[in-house]
Amino acid sequence: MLLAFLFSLSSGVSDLGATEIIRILFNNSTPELLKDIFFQFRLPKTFTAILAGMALSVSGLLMQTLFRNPLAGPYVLGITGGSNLMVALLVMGTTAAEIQFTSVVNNIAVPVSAAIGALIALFFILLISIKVHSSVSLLLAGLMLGFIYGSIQNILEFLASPEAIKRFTLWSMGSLGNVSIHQLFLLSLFVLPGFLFAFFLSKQLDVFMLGDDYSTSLGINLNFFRWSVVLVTALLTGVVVAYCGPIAFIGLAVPHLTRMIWLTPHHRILVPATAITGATLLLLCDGLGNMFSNHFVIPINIVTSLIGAPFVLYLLFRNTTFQFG
Amino acid sequence: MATHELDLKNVSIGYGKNKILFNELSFSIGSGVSSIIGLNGSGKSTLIKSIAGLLPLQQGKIFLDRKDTAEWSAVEKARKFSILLTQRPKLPYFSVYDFVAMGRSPYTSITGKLTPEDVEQIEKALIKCGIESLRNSLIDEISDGQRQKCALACAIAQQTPVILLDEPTTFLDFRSRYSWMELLQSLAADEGKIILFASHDLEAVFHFSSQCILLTESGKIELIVKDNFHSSIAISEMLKNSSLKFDGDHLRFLHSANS
Repeated sequence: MLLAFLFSLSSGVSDLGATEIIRILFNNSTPELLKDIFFQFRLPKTFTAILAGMALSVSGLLMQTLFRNPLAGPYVLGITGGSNLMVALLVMGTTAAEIQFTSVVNNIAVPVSAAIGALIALFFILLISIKVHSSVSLLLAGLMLGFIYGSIQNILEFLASPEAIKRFTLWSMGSLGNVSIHQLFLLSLFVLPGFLFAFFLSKQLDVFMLGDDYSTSLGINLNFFRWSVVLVTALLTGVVVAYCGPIAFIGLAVPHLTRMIWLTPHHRILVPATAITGATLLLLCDGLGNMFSNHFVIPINIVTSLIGAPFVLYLLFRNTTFQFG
Repeated sequence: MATHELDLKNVSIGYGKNKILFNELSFSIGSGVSSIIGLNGSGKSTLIKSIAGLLPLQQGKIFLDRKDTAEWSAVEKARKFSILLTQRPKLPYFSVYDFVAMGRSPYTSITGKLTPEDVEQIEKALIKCGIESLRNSLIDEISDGQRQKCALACAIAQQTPVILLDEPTTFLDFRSRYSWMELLQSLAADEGKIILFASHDLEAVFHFSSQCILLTESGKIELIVKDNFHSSIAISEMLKNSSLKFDGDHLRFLHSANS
Protein backbone atom coordinates (compact mmCIF):
# COMPACT_ATOMS: atom_id res chain seq x y z
CA MET A 1 0.00 0.00 0.00
CA LEU A 2 2.91 2.33 0.79
CA LEU A 3 4.35 1.82 -2.70
CA ALA A 4 0.93 2.45 -4.25
CA PHE A 5 0.65 5.57 -2.08
CA LEU A 6 4.00 6.89 -3.37
CA PHE A 7 3.08 5.88 -6.94
CA SER A 8 -0.17 7.85 -6.77
CA LEU A 9 1.50 10.79 -5.03
CA SER A 10 4.21 11.11 -7.67
CA SER A 11 1.87 10.82 -10.66
CA GLY A 12 0.04 13.70 -12.31
CA VAL A 13 0.08 16.08 -15.24
CA SER A 14 2.54 18.51 -13.66
CA ASP A 15 6.23 17.69 -13.47
CA LEU A 16 6.32 16.66 -9.83
CA GLY A 17 8.08 13.34 -9.45
CA ALA A 18 9.30 11.39 -6.46
CA THR A 19 12.53 13.46 -6.14
CA GLU A 20 10.62 16.74 -6.04
CA ILE A 21 8.22 15.34 -3.46
CA ILE A 22 11.11 14.33 -1.17
CA ARG A 23 12.51 17.83 -1.63
CA ILE A 24 9.19 19.41 -0.70
CA LEU A 25 8.92 17.28 2.40
CA PHE A 26 12.49 17.69 3.62
CA ASN A 27 13.81 20.89 2.02
CA ASN A 28 12.31 24.35 2.31
CA SER A 29 14.03 25.68 -0.81
CA THR A 30 11.47 24.10 -3.19
CA PRO A 31 9.56 26.61 -5.37
CA GLU A 32 6.24 27.73 -3.88
CA LEU A 33 4.35 26.67 -7.01
CA LEU A 34 5.45 23.04 -6.64
CA LYS A 35 4.59 23.14 -2.93
CA ASP A 36 1.13 24.45 -3.78
CA ILE A 37 0.60 21.75 -6.39
CA PHE A 38 1.68 19.14 -3.89
CA PHE A 39 -0.39 20.30 -0.92
CA GLN A 40 -3.44 21.58 -2.80
CA PHE A 41 -3.77 18.88 -5.44
CA ARG A 42 -1.56 15.81 -5.13
CA LEU A 43 -1.94 15.11 -1.44
CA PRO A 44 -5.76 15.55 -1.39
CA LYS A 45 -6.06 13.42 -4.56
CA THR A 46 -4.02 10.59 -3.03
CA PHE A 47 -5.92 10.64 0.26
CA THR A 48 -9.20 10.79 -1.70
CA ALA A 49 -8.11 7.64 -3.55
CA ILE A 50 -7.49 5.92 -0.19
CA LEU A 51 -10.85 6.93 1.29
CA ALA A 52 -12.82 6.22 -1.91
CA GLY A 53 -11.12 2.84 -2.36
CA MET A 54 -11.88 1.93 1.26
CA ALA A 55 -15.50 3.09 1.07
CA LEU A 56 -16.41 1.45 -2.25
CA SER A 57 -14.76 -1.88 -1.52
CA VAL A 58 -16.20 -2.15 2.00
CA SER A 59 -19.68 -1.24 0.74
CA GLY A 60 -19.27 -3.92 -1.96
CA LEU A 61 -18.33 -6.47 0.71
CA LEU A 62 -21.35 -5.48 2.83
CA MET A 63 -23.68 -5.77 -0.15
CA GLN A 64 -22.33 -9.17 -1.19
CA THR A 65 -22.97 -10.44 2.33
CA LEU A 66 -26.35 -8.71 2.73
CA PHE A 67 -27.68 -10.11 -0.56
CA ARG A 68 -25.66 -13.34 -0.16
CA ASN A 69 -24.81 -12.67 -3.78
CA PRO A 70 -21.28 -12.55 -5.21
CA LEU A 71 -22.40 -10.28 -8.06
CA ALA A 72 -23.61 -7.54 -5.71
CA GLY A 73 -21.81 -4.23 -5.74
CA PRO A 74 -22.80 -0.58 -5.57
CA TYR A 75 -22.39 -0.05 -9.32
CA VAL A 76 -24.08 -3.17 -10.69
CA LEU A 77 -27.09 -3.02 -8.39
CA GLY A 78 -27.94 0.54 -9.39
CA ILE A 79 -26.90 2.19 -6.10
CA THR A 80 -24.45 4.46 -7.90
CA GLY A 81 -27.21 5.26 -10.43
CA GLY A 82 -29.55 6.25 -7.58
CA SER A 83 -26.91 8.61 -6.21
CA ASN A 84 -26.31 10.07 -9.67
CA LEU A 85 -30.00 10.75 -10.13
CA MET A 86 -30.39 12.47 -6.77
CA VAL A 87 -27.38 14.70 -7.40
CA ALA A 88 -28.76 15.49 -10.87
CA LEU A 89 -32.04 16.51 -9.23
CA LEU A 90 -30.18 18.73 -6.78
CA VAL A 91 -27.83 20.34 -9.29
CA MET A 92 -30.39 20.89 -12.04
CA GLY A 93 -33.18 21.77 -9.64
CA THR A 94 -31.15 24.44 -7.86
CA THR A 95 -29.87 25.83 -11.16
CA ALA A 96 -33.41 25.99 -12.59
CA ALA A 97 -34.69 27.67 -9.44
CA GLU A 98 -31.68 30.02 -9.54
CA ILE A 99 -30.71 29.04 -6.02
CA GLN A 100 -27.09 29.76 -5.24
CA PHE A 101 -25.71 27.63 -2.43
CA THR A 102 -22.70 28.79 -0.51
CA SER A 103 -19.74 26.45 -0.94
CA VAL A 104 -20.26 25.10 2.60
CA VAL A 105 -23.92 24.23 1.95
CA ASN A 106 -22.99 22.81 -1.46
CA ASN A 107 -20.28 20.65 0.12
CA ILE A 108 -22.85 19.11 2.44
CA ALA A 109 -25.91 19.13 0.14
CA VAL A 110 -24.23 17.13 -2.63
CA PRO A 111 -23.03 14.20 -0.45
CA VAL A 112 -26.26 14.15 1.55
CA SER A 113 -28.37 14.01 -1.62
CA ALA A 114 -26.06 11.33 -3.06
CA ALA A 115 -26.42 9.29 0.14
CA ILE A 116 -30.22 9.71 0.05
CA GLY A 117 -30.19 8.56 -3.59
CA ALA A 118 -28.11 5.52 -2.64
CA LEU A 119 -30.43 4.79 0.29
CA ILE A 120 -33.55 4.89 -1.91
CA ALA A 121 -31.88 2.71 -4.56
CA LEU A 122 -30.77 0.23 -1.90
CA PHE A 123 -34.27 0.15 -0.46
CA PHE A 124 -35.72 -0.77 -3.87
CA ILE A 125 -33.17 -3.49 -4.52
CA LEU A 126 -33.67 -4.85 -1.00
CA LEU A 127 -37.42 -5.10 -1.65
CA ILE A 128 -36.74 -6.92 -4.90
CA SER A 129 -34.28 -9.26 -3.20
CA ILE A 130 -37.06 -10.46 -0.86
CA LYS A 131 -38.94 -11.82 -3.90
CA VAL A 132 -36.03 -12.59 -6.24
CA HIS A 133 -33.51 -15.07 -4.86
CA SER A 134 -31.48 -15.92 -7.95
CA SER A 135 -28.16 -14.04 -8.18
CA VAL A 136 -28.56 -13.43 -11.90
CA SER A 137 -32.16 -12.20 -11.60
CA LEU A 138 -31.16 -9.77 -8.86
CA LEU A 139 -28.31 -8.51 -11.01
CA LEU A 140 -30.72 -7.99 -13.92
CA ALA A 141 -33.14 -6.19 -11.59
CA GLY A 142 -30.27 -3.90 -10.51
CA LEU A 143 -29.40 -3.20 -14.12
CA MET A 144 -33.04 -2.42 -14.95
CA LEU A 145 -33.28 -0.03 -12.00
CA GLY A 146 -30.05 1.55 -13.25
CA PHE A 147 -31.70 2.07 -16.67
CA ILE A 148 -34.72 3.69 -15.01
CA TYR A 149 -32.55 6.09 -12.98
CA GLY A 150 -30.49 6.81 -16.10
CA SER A 151 -33.60 7.54 -18.17
CA ILE A 152 -35.02 9.93 -15.57
CA GLN A 153 -31.61 11.59 -15.43
CA ASN A 154 -31.66 11.95 -19.26
CA ILE A 155 -35.10 13.58 -19.11
CA LEU A 156 -33.77 16.04 -16.52
CA GLU A 157 -30.77 16.79 -18.72
CA PHE A 158 -33.07 17.26 -21.71
CA LEU A 159 -35.13 19.83 -19.81
CA ALA A 160 -32.25 21.54 -18.05
CA SER A 161 -30.49 24.77 -19.01
CA PRO A 162 -27.04 24.56 -20.62
CA GLU A 163 -25.50 25.93 -17.43
CA ALA A 164 -27.08 23.18 -15.31
CA ILE A 165 -26.01 20.49 -17.78
CA LYS A 166 -22.46 21.83 -17.67
CA ARG A 167 -22.41 21.74 -13.85
CA PHE A 168 -23.79 18.22 -13.75
CA THR A 169 -21.60 16.86 -16.56
CA LEU A 170 -18.49 18.19 -14.84
CA TRP A 171 -19.54 16.44 -11.65
CA SER A 172 -20.57 13.17 -13.32
CA MET A 173 -17.29 12.74 -15.21
CA GLY A 174 -15.85 12.11 -11.80
CA SER A 175 -12.31 12.41 -10.66
CA LEU A 176 -10.23 11.86 -7.58
CA GLY A 177 -8.53 15.18 -8.28
CA ASN A 178 -11.51 17.48 -7.78
CA VAL A 179 -11.63 17.14 -4.02
CA SER A 180 -10.32 20.09 -2.01
CA ILE A 181 -8.70 19.81 1.41
CA HIS A 182 -11.99 20.87 3.06
CA GLN A 183 -14.00 18.35 1.05
CA LEU A 184 -11.44 15.70 1.91
CA PHE A 185 -12.07 16.43 5.57
CA LEU A 186 -15.84 16.01 5.03
CA LEU A 187 -15.25 12.83 3.03
CA SER A 188 -13.23 11.34 5.88
CA LEU A 189 -15.93 12.43 8.32
CA PHE A 190 -18.36 10.12 6.50
CA VAL A 191 -16.02 7.29 5.42
CA LEU A 192 -14.08 6.60 8.63
CA PRO A 193 -17.14 6.25 10.94
CA GLY A 194 -18.84 4.19 8.19
CA PHE A 195 -15.83 1.88 8.07
CA LEU A 196 -15.75 1.55 11.87
CA PHE A 197 -19.47 0.77 11.96
CA ALA A 198 -18.95 -1.90 9.27
CA PHE A 199 -16.14 -3.39 11.37
CA PHE A 200 -18.40 -3.56 14.42
CA LEU A 201 -20.96 -5.46 12.33
CA SER A 202 -18.33 -8.18 11.68
CA LYS A 203 -19.82 -10.90 13.87
CA GLN A 204 -23.33 -10.34 12.57
CA LEU A 205 -22.06 -10.39 8.98
CA ASP A 206 -20.37 -13.77 9.62
CA VAL A 207 -23.50 -15.28 11.14
CA PHE A 208 -25.77 -13.79 8.45
CA MET A 209 -23.96 -15.92 5.84
CA LEU A 210 -25.64 -18.99 7.37
CA GLY A 211 -29.13 -17.84 6.30
CA ASP A 212 -32.02 -15.99 7.91
CA ASP A 213 -33.24 -18.84 10.16
CA TYR A 214 -29.82 -19.75 11.54
CA SER A 215 -28.98 -16.05 12.03
CA THR A 216 -32.13 -15.53 14.10
CA SER A 217 -31.48 -18.67 16.14
CA LEU A 218 -27.95 -17.40 16.83
CA GLY A 219 -29.21 -14.13 18.26
CA ILE A 220 -29.15 -11.73 15.32
CA ASN A 221 -31.94 -9.15 15.18
CA LEU A 222 -32.45 -9.36 11.41
CA ASN A 223 -34.35 -6.10 10.93
CA PHE A 224 -31.84 -4.05 12.87
CA PHE A 225 -28.95 -5.79 11.12
CA ARG A 226 -30.36 -5.31 7.60
CA TRP A 227 -31.08 -1.62 8.11
CA SER A 228 -27.68 -1.04 9.69
CA VAL A 229 -25.96 -2.54 6.65
CA VAL A 230 -28.19 -0.61 4.24
CA LEU A 231 -27.45 2.68 6.01
CA VAL A 232 -23.69 2.13 6.14
CA THR A 233 -23.58 1.01 2.51
CA ALA A 234 -25.66 3.97 1.34
CA LEU A 235 -23.48 6.36 3.30
CA LEU A 236 -20.19 4.92 2.02
CA THR A 237 -21.33 4.69 -1.60
CA GLY A 238 -23.25 7.94 -1.68
CA VAL A 239 -20.48 10.08 -0.29
CA VAL A 240 -17.89 8.72 -2.73
CA VAL A 241 -20.21 9.15 -5.71
CA ALA A 242 -20.91 12.69 -4.56
CA TYR A 243 -17.27 13.76 -4.41
CA CYS A 244 -15.61 11.54 -7.01
CA GLY A 245 -18.40 10.54 -9.42
CA PRO A 246 -19.20 6.97 -10.39
CA ILE A 247 -16.28 4.54 -10.03
CA ALA A 248 -16.97 1.03 -11.33
CA PHE A 249 -15.71 -2.43 -10.33
CA ILE A 250 -13.88 -1.54 -7.10
CA GLY A 251 -16.94 -2.51 -5.03
CA LEU A 252 -17.51 -5.70 -6.99
CA ALA A 253 -13.99 -7.01 -7.53
CA VAL A 254 -12.06 -6.04 -4.38
CA PRO A 255 -14.03 -8.17 -1.87
CA HIS A 256 -13.38 -11.25 -4.05
CA LEU A 257 -9.72 -10.39 -4.44
CA THR A 258 -9.46 -10.00 -0.65
CA ARG A 259 -11.15 -13.35 0.03
CA MET A 260 -8.77 -15.00 -2.43
CA ILE A 261 -5.77 -13.49 -0.62
CA TRP A 262 -6.91 -14.14 2.96
CA LEU A 263 -8.97 -17.34 2.42
CA THR A 264 -11.24 -16.49 5.33
CA PRO A 265 -14.99 -15.97 5.85
CA HIS A 266 -14.45 -13.76 8.93
CA HIS A 267 -15.51 -10.18 8.45
CA ARG A 268 -13.35 -8.91 11.33
CA ILE A 269 -10.46 -9.73 8.95
CA LEU A 270 -12.29 -9.12 5.67
CA VAL A 271 -13.55 -5.60 6.49
CA PRO A 272 -10.11 -4.07 7.23
CA ALA A 273 -8.37 -6.23 4.60
CA THR A 274 -10.92 -5.21 1.95
CA ALA A 275 -10.47 -1.56 2.91
CA ILE A 276 -6.68 -1.81 2.56
CA THR A 277 -6.90 -3.73 -0.73
CA GLY A 278 -9.49 -1.29 -2.10
CA ALA A 279 -7.39 1.71 -1.13
CA THR A 280 -4.26 0.15 -2.65
CA LEU A 281 -6.02 -0.76 -5.89
CA LEU A 282 -7.53 2.70 -6.34
CA LEU A 283 -4.13 4.31 -5.62
CA LEU A 284 -2.61 2.10 -8.33
CA CYS A 285 -5.45 2.90 -10.75
CA ASP A 286 -4.94 6.60 -10.05
CA GLY A 287 -1.21 6.28 -10.70
CA LEU A 288 -1.82 4.32 -13.90
CA GLY A 289 -4.35 6.88 -15.15
CA ASN A 290 -1.74 9.58 -14.78
CA MET A 291 1.33 7.84 -16.14
CA PHE A 292 0.51 7.63 -19.87
CA SER A 293 0.73 11.31 -20.68
CA ASN A 294 1.89 14.59 -19.19
CA HIS A 295 -0.99 16.38 -20.89
CA PHE A 296 -4.09 14.57 -19.77
CA VAL A 297 -5.40 12.17 -17.12
CA ILE A 298 -7.38 9.05 -18.06
CA PRO A 299 -10.64 9.20 -16.03
CA ILE A 300 -10.44 6.90 -13.02
CA ASN A 301 -13.61 5.05 -14.02
CA ILE A 302 -11.97 3.90 -17.28
CA VAL A 303 -8.88 2.57 -15.46
CA THR A 304 -10.90 0.70 -12.81
CA SER A 305 -13.11 -0.82 -15.52
CA LEU A 306 -10.10 -1.92 -17.59
CA ILE A 307 -8.61 -3.68 -14.55
CA GLY A 308 -11.81 -4.77 -12.79
CA ALA A 309 -13.79 -6.24 -15.71
CA PRO A 310 -11.11 -8.80 -16.74
CA PHE A 311 -10.72 -9.78 -13.08
CA VAL A 312 -14.46 -10.43 -12.70
CA LEU A 313 -14.36 -12.46 -15.95
CA TYR A 314 -11.49 -14.48 -14.47
CA LEU A 315 -13.58 -15.13 -11.36
CA LEU A 316 -16.51 -16.28 -13.48
CA PHE A 317 -14.29 -18.76 -15.33
CA ARG A 318 -12.66 -19.88 -12.10
CA ASN A 319 -16.20 -20.40 -10.78
CA THR A 320 -15.34 -22.27 -7.57
CA THR A 321 -15.41 -19.40 -5.11
CA PHE A 322 -17.69 -17.10 -7.05
CA GLN A 323 -20.77 -18.65 -5.53
CA PHE A 324 -22.78 -18.00 -2.39
CA GLY A 325 -25.87 -19.76 -1.12
CA MET B 1 -27.78 -32.22 36.75
CA ALA B 2 -30.40 -29.58 36.05
CA THR B 3 -33.53 -30.60 34.21
CA HIS B 4 -35.72 -28.36 32.12
CA GLU B 5 -39.33 -27.97 31.16
CA LEU B 6 -40.84 -26.50 28.00
CA ASP B 7 -44.50 -25.47 28.13
CA LEU B 8 -46.71 -24.31 25.29
CA LYS B 9 -49.84 -22.57 26.57
CA ASN B 10 -52.77 -21.91 24.18
CA VAL B 11 -50.37 -21.40 21.32
CA SER B 12 -51.69 -20.77 17.79
CA ILE B 13 -49.19 -21.34 15.05
CA GLY B 14 -49.23 -20.46 11.37
CA TYR B 15 -48.40 -17.87 8.75
CA GLY B 16 -50.57 -14.90 9.67
CA LYS B 17 -54.11 -14.79 11.06
CA ASN B 18 -55.57 -16.23 7.85
CA LYS B 19 -53.36 -19.32 7.73
CA ILE B 20 -53.42 -20.88 11.18
CA LEU B 21 -52.09 -24.46 11.22
CA PHE B 22 -52.66 -25.19 14.91
CA ASN B 23 -55.09 -23.42 17.18
CA GLU B 24 -54.60 -23.13 20.93
CA LEU B 25 -52.05 -25.90 21.38
CA SER B 26 -51.04 -26.71 24.91
CA PHE B 27 -48.49 -29.32 25.86
CA SER B 28 -45.45 -29.72 28.01
CA ILE B 29 -42.20 -31.64 27.50
CA GLY B 30 -39.30 -32.18 29.86
CA SER B 31 -35.63 -33.12 29.60
CA GLY B 32 -35.15 -36.09 27.29
CA VAL B 33 -35.64 -36.91 23.64
CA SER B 34 -39.08 -36.11 22.23
CA SER B 35 -40.24 -36.29 18.65
CA ILE B 36 -42.78 -34.76 16.31
CA ILE B 37 -44.35 -36.88 13.59
CA GLY B 38 -46.98 -36.21 10.98
CA LEU B 39 -47.64 -36.46 7.27
CA ASN B 40 -46.13 -34.09 4.72
CA GLY B 41 -47.55 -30.61 5.17
CA SER B 42 -48.85 -31.35 8.66
CA GLY B 43 -46.76 -28.50 10.08
CA LYS B 44 -43.80 -30.25 11.74
CA SER B 45 -41.22 -27.70 10.55
CA THR B 46 -43.59 -24.81 11.30
CA LEU B 47 -44.02 -26.05 14.87
CA ILE B 48 -40.25 -26.47 15.34
CA LYS B 49 -39.56 -23.00 13.92
CA SER B 50 -42.30 -21.41 16.03
CA ILE B 51 -40.91 -22.91 19.23
CA ALA B 52 -37.44 -21.67 18.24
CA GLY B 53 -38.82 -18.15 17.76
CA LEU B 54 -38.13 -18.09 14.02
CA LEU B 55 -41.84 -17.62 13.29
CA PRO B 56 -44.04 -15.32 15.39
CA LEU B 57 -46.75 -16.96 17.47
CA GLN B 58 -50.25 -15.97 16.39
CA GLN B 59 -51.44 -16.38 19.96
CA GLY B 60 -50.39 -17.84 23.31
CA LYS B 61 -47.11 -18.14 25.15
CA ILE B 62 -44.13 -20.47 25.37
CA PHE B 63 -42.43 -20.93 28.73
CA LEU B 64 -39.03 -22.46 29.39
CA ASP B 65 -38.51 -23.34 33.05
CA ARG B 66 -41.59 -21.21 33.82
CA LYS B 67 -40.09 -18.11 32.15
CA ASP B 68 -41.95 -16.45 29.29
CA THR B 69 -39.69 -16.71 26.22
CA ALA B 70 -41.36 -13.67 24.61
CA GLU B 71 -39.69 -11.47 27.21
CA TRP B 72 -36.18 -12.50 26.15
CA SER B 73 -33.96 -10.57 23.76
CA ALA B 74 -32.70 -12.27 20.58
CA VAL B 75 -29.37 -13.11 22.28
CA GLU B 76 -31.03 -14.44 25.44
CA LYS B 77 -33.22 -16.67 23.27
CA ALA B 78 -30.13 -17.85 21.36
CA ARG B 79 -28.63 -19.01 24.68
CA LYS B 80 -31.72 -21.13 25.36
CA PHE B 81 -32.78 -22.57 21.98
CA SER B 82 -30.57 -23.94 19.23
CA ILE B 83 -31.91 -25.37 16.00
CA LEU B 84 -30.75 -27.71 13.28
CA LEU B 85 -32.46 -27.22 9.94
CA THR B 86 -32.41 -28.93 6.58
CA GLN B 87 -31.13 -25.77 4.86
CA ARG B 88 -27.62 -26.04 3.42
CA PRO B 89 -26.40 -22.61 2.31
CA LYS B 90 -23.21 -22.31 0.27
CA LEU B 91 -20.47 -21.08 2.60
CA PRO B 92 -17.29 -20.36 0.66
CA TYR B 93 -14.09 -20.32 2.76
CA PHE B 94 -15.91 -21.66 5.87
CA SER B 95 -13.96 -24.51 7.45
CA VAL B 96 -15.75 -27.04 9.66
CA TYR B 97 -14.18 -25.29 12.67
CA ASP B 98 -15.42 -21.86 11.50
CA PHE B 99 -18.91 -23.26 11.06
CA VAL B 100 -19.06 -24.94 14.48
CA ALA B 101 -17.62 -21.76 16.03
CA MET B 102 -20.71 -19.86 14.82
CA GLY B 103 -22.52 -21.63 17.66
CA ARG B 104 -20.57 -19.45 20.08
CA SER B 105 -21.77 -16.17 18.57
CA PRO B 106 -24.40 -15.54 21.29
CA TYR B 107 -21.49 -15.46 23.76
CA THR B 108 -18.69 -13.69 21.85
CA SER B 109 -17.78 -9.99 21.70
CA ILE B 110 -18.99 -7.58 19.03
CA THR B 111 -16.34 -8.72 16.51
CA GLY B 112 -16.85 -12.42 17.21
CA LYS B 113 -13.37 -13.09 18.61
CA LEU B 114 -13.25 -16.41 20.48
CA THR B 115 -12.19 -16.64 24.14
CA PRO B 116 -10.45 -19.74 25.62
CA GLU B 117 -13.86 -20.79 27.01
CA ASP B 118 -15.35 -20.60 23.49
CA VAL B 119 -12.47 -22.65 22.07
CA GLU B 120 -12.97 -25.29 24.77
CA GLN B 121 -16.69 -25.61 24.00
CA ILE B 122 -16.01 -25.86 20.25
CA GLU B 123 -13.41 -28.61 20.83
CA LYS B 124 -15.85 -30.54 23.03
CA ALA B 125 -18.58 -30.26 20.38
CA LEU B 126 -16.22 -31.44 17.61
CA ILE B 127 -15.19 -34.46 19.69
CA LYS B 128 -18.77 -35.33 20.71
CA CYS B 129 -19.85 -35.40 17.08
CA GLY B 130 -16.72 -37.26 15.97
CA ILE B 131 -15.65 -34.64 13.45
CA GLU B 132 -12.44 -33.36 15.06
CA SER B 133 -10.39 -34.72 12.13
CA LEU B 134 -12.47 -32.63 9.71
CA ARG B 135 -11.81 -29.35 11.50
CA ASN B 136 -9.79 -27.83 8.63
CA SER B 137 -11.93 -29.21 5.80
CA LEU B 138 -14.08 -26.75 3.91
CA ILE B 139 -17.73 -27.10 4.85
CA ASP B 140 -18.81 -26.97 1.18
CA GLU B 141 -16.54 -29.91 0.34
CA ILE B 142 -17.65 -32.50 2.92
CA SER B 143 -20.49 -35.01 2.51
CA ASP B 144 -24.10 -34.25 3.46
CA GLY B 145 -23.90 -36.59 6.45
CA GLN B 146 -20.71 -34.98 7.73
CA ARG B 147 -22.26 -31.57 7.27
CA GLN B 148 -25.25 -32.67 9.32
CA LYS B 149 -22.86 -33.64 12.12
CA CYS B 150 -21.25 -30.18 11.88
CA ALA B 151 -24.68 -28.58 12.27
CA LEU B 152 -25.25 -30.62 15.43
CA ALA B 153 -21.78 -29.70 16.71
CA CYS B 154 -22.72 -26.05 16.14
CA ALA B 155 -25.91 -26.54 18.19
CA ILE B 156 -23.93 -28.31 20.95
CA ALA B 157 -21.37 -25.48 21.01
CA GLN B 158 -24.29 -23.09 21.50
CA GLN B 159 -24.79 -24.71 24.95
CA THR B 160 -28.55 -24.36 25.04
CA PRO B 161 -30.93 -26.33 27.28
CA VAL B 162 -33.19 -26.93 24.26
CA ILE B 163 -32.07 -28.36 20.91
CA LEU B 164 -34.68 -28.43 18.14
CA LEU B 165 -34.01 -30.52 15.05
CA ASP B 166 -35.90 -30.64 11.76
CA GLU B 167 -35.44 -33.95 9.91
CA PRO B 168 -32.05 -34.64 11.53
CA THR B 169 -31.51 -38.10 10.03
CA THR B 170 -32.32 -37.19 6.42
CA PHE B 171 -28.76 -37.16 5.13
CA LEU B 172 -27.40 -39.95 7.32
CA ASP B 173 -26.67 -43.54 6.36
CA PHE B 174 -28.17 -46.42 8.36
CA ARG B 175 -25.23 -46.78 10.77
CA SER B 176 -24.75 -43.05 11.30
CA ARG B 177 -28.46 -42.68 12.04
CA TYR B 178 -28.15 -44.90 15.08
CA SER B 179 -24.97 -43.36 16.43
CA TRP B 180 -26.53 -39.92 15.83
CA MET B 181 -29.67 -40.77 17.78
CA GLU B 182 -27.57 -42.31 20.57
CA LEU B 183 -25.63 -39.06 20.76
CA LEU B 184 -28.89 -37.11 21.12
CA GLN B 185 -29.97 -39.50 23.85
CA SER B 186 -26.69 -39.06 25.75
CA LEU B 187 -26.97 -35.26 25.48
CA ALA B 188 -30.40 -35.49 27.04
CA ALA B 189 -29.33 -37.99 29.70
CA ASP B 190 -25.95 -36.46 30.64
CA GLU B 191 -26.76 -32.76 30.39
CA GLY B 192 -30.52 -32.72 31.00
CA LYS B 193 -31.23 -31.12 27.64
CA ILE B 194 -34.63 -31.07 25.97
CA ILE B 195 -34.17 -32.60 22.52
CA LEU B 196 -37.16 -32.21 20.22
CA PHE B 197 -36.89 -33.52 16.67
CA ALA B 198 -39.33 -33.63 13.77
CA SER B 199 -38.95 -36.67 11.57
CA HIS B 200 -40.42 -39.05 9.05
CA ASP B 201 -38.00 -41.67 10.32
CA LEU B 202 -40.48 -43.58 12.49
CA GLU B 203 -37.92 -46.22 13.41
CA ALA B 204 -35.79 -43.54 15.05
CA VAL B 205 -38.88 -42.02 16.64
CA PHE B 206 -40.03 -45.32 18.20
CA HIS B 207 -36.59 -46.41 19.37
CA PHE B 208 -35.16 -43.21 20.70
CA SER B 209 -37.86 -40.78 21.79
CA SER B 210 -39.51 -41.00 25.18
CA GLN B 211 -42.60 -39.20 23.93
CA CYS B 212 -43.99 -38.32 20.57
CA ILE B 213 -46.17 -35.43 19.40
CA LEU B 214 -48.33 -36.61 16.53
CA LEU B 215 -49.74 -33.87 14.29
CA THR B 216 -53.07 -34.93 12.83
CA GLU B 217 -54.60 -33.79 9.57
CA SER B 218 -57.34 -31.95 11.44
CA GLY B 219 -54.82 -29.58 13.04
CA LYS B 220 -54.90 -31.32 16.42
CA ILE B 221 -52.06 -32.99 18.29
CA GLU B 222 -51.78 -36.28 20.17
CA LEU B 223 -49.12 -36.64 22.83
CA ILE B 224 -48.05 -40.30 23.01
CA VAL B 225 -45.61 -41.56 25.64
CA LYS B 226 -43.18 -44.37 24.79
CA ASP B 227 -45.11 -47.08 26.66
CA ASN B 228 -48.22 -46.34 24.59
CA PHE B 229 -46.57 -46.31 21.15
CA HIS B 230 -47.59 -49.90 20.44
CA SER B 231 -51.26 -49.32 21.22
CA SER B 232 -51.60 -45.88 19.69
CA ILE B 233 -54.86 -45.46 17.82
CA ALA B 234 -53.66 -42.09 16.56
CA ILE B 235 -50.75 -43.69 14.69
CA SER B 236 -53.10 -46.24 13.11
CA GLU B 237 -55.51 -43.42 12.24
CA MET B 238 -52.72 -41.58 10.47
CA LEU B 239 -52.46 -44.53 8.06
CA LYS B 240 -56.12 -44.79 7.13
CA ASN B 241 -56.82 -44.69 3.37
CA SER B 242 -53.32 -46.03 2.70
CA SER B 243 -51.99 -49.51 1.99
CA LEU B 244 -49.90 -49.45 5.21
CA LYS B 245 -50.84 -50.97 8.53
CA PHE B 246 -49.26 -50.24 11.93
CA ASP B 247 -47.91 -53.34 13.69
CA GLY B 248 -47.88 -52.09 17.28
CA ASP B 249 -46.34 -55.23 18.74
CA HIS B 250 -43.19 -54.81 16.71
CA LEU B 251 -43.41 -51.03 16.23
CA ARG B 252 -43.22 -51.32 12.46
CA PHE B 253 -45.33 -50.72 9.39
CA LEU B 254 -46.59 -53.45 7.14
CA HIS B 255 -47.70 -53.16 3.56
CA SER B 256 -51.17 -54.68 3.19
CA ALA B 257 -49.92 -56.93 0.37
CA ASN B 258 -47.39 -58.56 2.75
CA SER B 259 -49.39 -58.65 5.97
